[in-house]
Amino acid sequence: MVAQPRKPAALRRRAPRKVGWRHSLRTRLVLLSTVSSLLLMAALALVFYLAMRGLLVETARSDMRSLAQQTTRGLEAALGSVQVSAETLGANAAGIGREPMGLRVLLMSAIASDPDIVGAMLIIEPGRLSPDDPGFSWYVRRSGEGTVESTVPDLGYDYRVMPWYIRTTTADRPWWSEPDTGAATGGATYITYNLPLRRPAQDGLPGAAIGMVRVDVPVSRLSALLGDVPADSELQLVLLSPERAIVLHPDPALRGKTTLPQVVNEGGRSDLAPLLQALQAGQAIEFEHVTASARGGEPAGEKRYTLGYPVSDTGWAFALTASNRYVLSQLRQITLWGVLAGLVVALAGMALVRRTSRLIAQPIEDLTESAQHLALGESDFPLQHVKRVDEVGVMARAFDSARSSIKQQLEEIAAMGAARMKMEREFNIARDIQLAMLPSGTEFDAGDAKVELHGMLQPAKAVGGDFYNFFERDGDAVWFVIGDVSDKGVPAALFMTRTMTVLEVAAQLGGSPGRALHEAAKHLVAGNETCMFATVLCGVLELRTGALSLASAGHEAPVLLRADGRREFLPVPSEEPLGVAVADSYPVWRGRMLPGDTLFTYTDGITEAFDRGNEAFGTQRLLEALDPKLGAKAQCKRVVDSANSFAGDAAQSDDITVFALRFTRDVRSHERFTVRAYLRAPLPPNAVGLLIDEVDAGLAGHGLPATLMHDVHLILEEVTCNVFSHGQVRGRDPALELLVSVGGQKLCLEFRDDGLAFNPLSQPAPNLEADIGERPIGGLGVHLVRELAEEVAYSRDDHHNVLRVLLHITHREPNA
Amino acid sequence: MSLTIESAPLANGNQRLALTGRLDTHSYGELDRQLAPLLASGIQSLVLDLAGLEYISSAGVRSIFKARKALSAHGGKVVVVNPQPQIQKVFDVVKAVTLEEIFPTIEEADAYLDAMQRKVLQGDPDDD
Repeated sequence: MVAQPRKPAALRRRAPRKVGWRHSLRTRLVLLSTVSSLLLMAALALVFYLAMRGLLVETARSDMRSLAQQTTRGLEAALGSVQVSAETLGANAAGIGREPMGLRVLLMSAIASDPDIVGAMLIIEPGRLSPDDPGFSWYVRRSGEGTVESTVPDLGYDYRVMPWYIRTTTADRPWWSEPDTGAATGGATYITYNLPLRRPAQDGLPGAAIGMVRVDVPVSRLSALLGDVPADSELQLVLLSPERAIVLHPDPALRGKTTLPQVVNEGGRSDLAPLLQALQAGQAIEFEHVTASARGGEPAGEKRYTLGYPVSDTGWAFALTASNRYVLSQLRQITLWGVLAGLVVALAGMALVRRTSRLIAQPIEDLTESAQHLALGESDFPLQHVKRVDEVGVMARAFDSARSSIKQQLEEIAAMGAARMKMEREFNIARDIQLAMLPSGTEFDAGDAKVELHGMLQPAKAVGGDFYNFFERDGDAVWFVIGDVSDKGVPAALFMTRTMTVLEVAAQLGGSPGRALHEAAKHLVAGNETCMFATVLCGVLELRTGALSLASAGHEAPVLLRADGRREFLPVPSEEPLGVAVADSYPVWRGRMLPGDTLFTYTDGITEAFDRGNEAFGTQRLLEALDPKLGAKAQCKRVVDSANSFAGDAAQSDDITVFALRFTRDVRSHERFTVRAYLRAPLPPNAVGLLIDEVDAGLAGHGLPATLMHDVHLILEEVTCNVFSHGQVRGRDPALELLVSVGGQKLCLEFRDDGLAFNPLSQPAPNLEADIGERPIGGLGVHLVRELAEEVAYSRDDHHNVLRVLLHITHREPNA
Repeated sequence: MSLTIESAPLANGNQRLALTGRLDTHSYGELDRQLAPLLASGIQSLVLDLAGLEYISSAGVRSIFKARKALSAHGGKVVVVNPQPQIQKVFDVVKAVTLEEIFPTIEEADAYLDAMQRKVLQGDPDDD
């Protein structure tokens, strides 16, 4: 079976997906270029508009000025020529005197000479030339191709009372009349130029008035001069009479019906006041103003530009006014066209960019598609553009080479994975074999003694270098070993099997654990080129006595867990590990296991189990994990579970091995110890009394005589006081265990304490014969004990002082 | 059961102490405390009435030793009256009291002490 390379999970998740048009490079390119060109165009249009506007306003005003000046000059020429004709007529008439025919000819020629003049009137008042002169009045008027003539009185009024006659004859200069419409002029609106007839001047004074000359000019002649301006044009041409009547105006509502002062004062057009003032002063004016009130179709607040020119000294005036709208209407049109043209260009540009962007975006889109297929594991998807010489080509070739590299590496990974799986399978088999070499838990009996053994191994790798082993020897001893080979994995596993075999053979030779280690060391050093080594703890437990002997080759100190919960690391002397060198000897530590005690051994995988914070499980946690109530198997499981839960999810760094051995005695033999009592710090106030009570209660059913009990009490007190007064270690009270057993005619008191080594029996007996003044006061207690007991023996056993006191039971009291 | 101590001076300047209960490592201190003023007051001799004493350990023996030492400095004596057998056994083992210092009654002990005192007053240099 060949393992398939697995695709990375993150890449398998998605199906290939096109980049959405909203996110595509092409859309961005088109949008960006279009928006930027539009912005550019808008800025250009704005600049253009502002420049054009200034230019156009200037040009338009200049045009208006030319038009106004030209029109004014035309009016001046027309009115001037009428004035000249009238003055010529007046001068000639004054020279001719009263010659009716001559005067009529003059009138006719005045009409004939000037097409602007449609009528001419001559009045010589009766009695002015001479007292009896009948006077003369004649009026000639064009009518069609011919003329109409009549006397003035025939026109239907008495000229002498007419205001215009009185004004003309009394004024010191000729004047133009306001427009009028009369039957004499055939219903047409006309204006007149009035000139007095005077006697010749005498002595520099003007001669007295004898009559007047009047010529008629139709308003239509003037309006023709103003040119042909459409009524709806924004340009307004206005002709003002000497009295500032509005003679000509595009608006029929104003034309001939009102005056400029009326418009200014009553029409609410205060904005035209500057025009009125300037014209009254006979000055030309050009000004910009805002209409103060609405009129006709013109809204209030409109900006206008107005020019006013007086027509020389005739009193007439010409005004030209235009709204800014008029000035700018052209500009608006030009701008509108400009913007439209700009939009068209922009659209064309967009289409162009869209088309050209394809050239750039398409190769990138192709590469993107190939990349998406590669992400799906299709490393053979066709790749385009590799032949291009531009950046796209470089990218495509780089992508192609990366793709080939990935493909090759994936194949290598697959091959490696397959090889690894094969190796893992082999490792698993090796692990099964290795674990099968380790004995499972068991129990051995010897008489009433029993030992329960159990080991657990939790390798860090598939195979490891830790081991343990045990077997019964000679029917009443258990031989056991626990070891840790340096390093882990296959080399350690191989060395471990060799070490186990060598140790087993060495143990069969008999003798102490120290000798077994020595023999094993000699064998393992031979041919150990790789310098592998193993730390080993080897021990033997004598089941009948509980005697324990241990030897260590560089291994961790085991823990002795007492039945009452006390626990300590045993100070087993340690020599060099097996495999590197052979120590001269491996010293043996000797001690005794009592019923209920557990010997707990382990490898450094337990104490050096690290948690995530890199803190080791350590010896203190190991001691705390132990529970004296548990059997060997439960004890092992408890410690391993503690170490595992301490390490949490941190990776196990080393093999973890534990091996426990629990020593017990059969329930049937428990009567050996009638009383088992303890005294430990802190001592209660009446400690000895309590101990005595406990012993009394335990021995109550044995029918022991009172004298013996008295001796027992004395011995208890004396020994106990001795232990606590001499046994303190660094200020700490020792712990005392008392075992009282009754067997046959013997009562045995066994005192075990972990205080300072002290043999009370080594003290010299007190000199009881000395005089009272010289006798020492102390030393009596031990003497008493010795005297009262049948036998007293001291031994130092596994850091404990053991004092055995044997008493003889003389008789029993049946009713006790 | 603990120790009870009754004290009563005797007519001839001797002091009588009656001990009842247990004289052991817990109670000897109390005896030492009560003896201290007596021994300091310069009494001639001490009569210990042990009829009620049920138990004695080496600690108790030491207290009696101390009293003996203190009195013997000026020729005084400690005598024991009527000890129970088990007390007698302990005294025998450690030779706490000589046989001639043990009496069956107070009166006999008092008489013995009087005789001793007279001997001293007469200047008998036999025992110092």
